[in-house]
Amino acid sequence: MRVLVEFAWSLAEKVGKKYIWLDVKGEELDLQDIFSRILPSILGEDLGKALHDLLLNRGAFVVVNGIMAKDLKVKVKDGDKILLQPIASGG
Amino acid sequence: MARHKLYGYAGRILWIDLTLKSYSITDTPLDLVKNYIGARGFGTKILWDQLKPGADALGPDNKLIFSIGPLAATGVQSASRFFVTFKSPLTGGYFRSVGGGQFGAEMKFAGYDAIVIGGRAERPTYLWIHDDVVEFKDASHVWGAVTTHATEHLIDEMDRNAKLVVIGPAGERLVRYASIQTNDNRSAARGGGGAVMGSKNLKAVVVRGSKKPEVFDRDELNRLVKEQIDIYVKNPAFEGFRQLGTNGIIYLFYTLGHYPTYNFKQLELENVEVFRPEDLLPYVVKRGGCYACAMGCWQFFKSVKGPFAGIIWDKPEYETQCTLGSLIGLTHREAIMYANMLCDLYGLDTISAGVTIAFAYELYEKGILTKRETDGLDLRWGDPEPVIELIRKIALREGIGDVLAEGVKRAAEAIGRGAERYAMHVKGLELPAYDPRAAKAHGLNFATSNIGASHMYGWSGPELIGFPEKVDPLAVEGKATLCKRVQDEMALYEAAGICQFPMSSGMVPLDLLSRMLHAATGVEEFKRPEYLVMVGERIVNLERAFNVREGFSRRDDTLPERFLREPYPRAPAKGQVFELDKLLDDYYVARGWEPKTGVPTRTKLEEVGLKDVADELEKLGKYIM
Repeated sequence: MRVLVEFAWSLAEKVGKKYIWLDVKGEELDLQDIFSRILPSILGEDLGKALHDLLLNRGAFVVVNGIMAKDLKVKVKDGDKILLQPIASGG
Repeated sequence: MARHKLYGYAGRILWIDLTLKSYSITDTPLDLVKNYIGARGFGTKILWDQLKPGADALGPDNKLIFSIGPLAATGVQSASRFFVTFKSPLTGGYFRSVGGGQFGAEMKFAGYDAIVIGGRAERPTYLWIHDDVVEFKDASHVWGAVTTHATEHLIDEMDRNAKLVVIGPAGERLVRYASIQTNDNRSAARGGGGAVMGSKNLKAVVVRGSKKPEVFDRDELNRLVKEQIDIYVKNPAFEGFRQLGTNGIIYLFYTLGHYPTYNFKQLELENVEVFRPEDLLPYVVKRGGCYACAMGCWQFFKSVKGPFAGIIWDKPEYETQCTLGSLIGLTHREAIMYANMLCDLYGLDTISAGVTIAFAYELYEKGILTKRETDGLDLRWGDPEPVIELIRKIALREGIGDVLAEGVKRAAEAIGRGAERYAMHVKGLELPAYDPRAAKAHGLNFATSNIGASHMYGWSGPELIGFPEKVDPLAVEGKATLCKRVQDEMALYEAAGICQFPMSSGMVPLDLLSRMLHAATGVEEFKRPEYLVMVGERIVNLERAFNVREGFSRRDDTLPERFLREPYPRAPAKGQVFELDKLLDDYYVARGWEPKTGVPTRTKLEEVGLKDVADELEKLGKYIM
């Protein structure tokens, strides 16, 4: 399956790109798999771990297809769009 | 009677009569302090007591009440905001508008918890308030001037260190959504406070003070401020606010379905990526912040290319990027920056101005307005040039601008031909940059807010940013309780004079606020967080009672038809409409208000200490017997 991961703001700077396509073969995945296993294998262990830690500490929003993820157990399917952005607020 | 020592507070209220050119100073009453804390609470109570029902919002009887909280200028962070309370020329009801910068702190230094202005000056006037002296000065030479030019003259004449609030040409011409601007580029913009000032022939209030507030326990308060700053810097939202303020959420909120487009039609916005935070950051050339606020969420943008090059101005906030941008199908960032600057110069609320212009664009699309009626302007979605021209026309009430200066509700009534369907307002106040269909508690707040469609009246953090808990924004169950909770909390924090930004991100926990209030004032009641929450609820109930007295009822707690009938067209809220009746029924139950009328019950009013208010409503026949 193919999943788009978007990095916004300072995360785009850290990762060095605004988005990345993940091609993963026929597995059932959740966000935990994406951020603890798959992304570190692409971005490198250090950066991957830093991103994962940020999410565990609620330092970033994770939005899947326009819906804020409750936790990292949210299932991911083919064609999903995941946005990762540092916490912000206002109005 | 011996005067009670008030710590934290300035301890005095200044009463000004512009008609008589007279003023008096009274002590801030202890019962006002205990029952309403300050700032928004003071404004609400004074307006209820002082304004006769049915008074003309643009007449001399209306009051303009500037008020601040007990923590202003004490060193507590983000606590020096000023509040302006009045009967709104847009809604005809209670209104409170909020501004930042330095003006609130300067009021405290001058020695006033509130400045209550009534009457109407015979000719253009500004007030020069320096400590205990109030002077009524001729403003003829700055009448007609844009806000920055008037500011420069008045500050230069009086004191370069003075702080002021000022109106522009829009306020002078009674544009119903004219703003009040400060000398540091901030606005108390919503609800038409600028028009109320204009109706009083009051161009500006210039303040300079030399007093320092005395607090109850300075060592404890200093320790608590340190604790507050520690919480700030550890909060994940802190850095985001410092870097880009509210512009950090535009792209995110579009993705989440909150950020409206095309007069709330919510069509996909081509090129929305230009609002990604990393693409907005390069515009920042300078930063700043309000008095004693570590967060410092001001950023100044510089435009360097295209027809709108050459400005450095306070950035368009999240709301403005939408109302002067995506609502008109516009993604030209420099044009939005320019339009934002024009609104500040003329003294216009960027939310109401943008929504009104988007309304005109949709009427033009539908053929309800023709080129003849728009003074030859071709209002095509995404074209910035007519936006710029319409802002000028509205501010100066020229041609079509004279109709649009009335706000969408009255403009739609004047235009007719079904225009009401495209007028996005609640109680006459134009909607801010959220879609009620995509966040139900937030939408319910728009419908029930006592000031009309305001995101600041009850910001639904759990739906919008998943804080302090995550809830499904599209769900209906539990949303009435959530709406009530955030409205009451907001009223409480605003009574303390605290800014919504750190509050809604958890940077000023209730327990800390309670301890800071006690350390500053020594008022025993403030030590109990549950007491403070009750004061918040009391304020909301008094505001509601004010509106009931003016003739408001359940029929006014509604939303534009678009949100009730037209399904939201794109992900993630695709297919959603707003379930008004169910949510309203639930809300009145949660509030303890009469479900058929939306009037607070006697039981509820007595529970929050407003027996006298219940008596008055009963006398006026507002209860169904």
